[in-house]
Amino acid sequence: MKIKVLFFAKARSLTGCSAHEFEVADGSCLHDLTTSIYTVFPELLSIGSTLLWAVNGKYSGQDQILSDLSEVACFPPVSGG
Amino acid sequence: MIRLTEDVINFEDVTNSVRDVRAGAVVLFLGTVREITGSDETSHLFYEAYPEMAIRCMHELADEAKQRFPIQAVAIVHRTGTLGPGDVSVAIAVSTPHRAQAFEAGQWLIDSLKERVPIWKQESYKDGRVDWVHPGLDAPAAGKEPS
Repeated sequence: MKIKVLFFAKARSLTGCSAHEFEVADGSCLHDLTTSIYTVFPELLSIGSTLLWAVNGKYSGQDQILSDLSEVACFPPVSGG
Repeated sequence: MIRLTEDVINFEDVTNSVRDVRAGAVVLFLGTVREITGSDETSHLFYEAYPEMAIRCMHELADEAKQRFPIQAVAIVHRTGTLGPGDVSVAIAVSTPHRAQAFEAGQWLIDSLKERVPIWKQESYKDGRVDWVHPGLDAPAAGKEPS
């Protein structure tokens, strides 16, 4: 299945794109997708331990199961205000 | 009133939106762009949001604040785009029966917004440096590659 991933702030600067589609096996969890993302964009590994993940607009853990309608977002710690 | 905007925040409207005859106190918090931080001089800030999630998170904060404090009404407006020194980046207004509750609720709301809501700022300094501000992620020193 195809999963659309959005990148924000420094994650967008490092990958050079605001969105990218990844192909993962049906039934994959966020961890599986994360592995694919780091393969395509190894630049992200420099901030990997600080990255936050959201699935369909909600903060999610690496065990979150994805579906082909999932929208995933990847971003560093927030700094609004 | 919960919204993101690219326009100047009309904080009088934000304040009026929470006024209520059951309230004895209204507190307005404004976040403004600071020009000097230590030895750094800020030229401008660029704010970016994940809009759908940011709006959802701000609604969740408002709901949670109402559970924690006796709030009559709450408003949260955050600006995105490029802002200069002195510009208002965020306005939070709360009304409560008594003043102590309004100050506490306002403090809790801005602290929680800064921890949870997916909005980021990129700081441009007058000496030409540009850094994303990500708490817990050290900005590289000028002229050095990120480690």
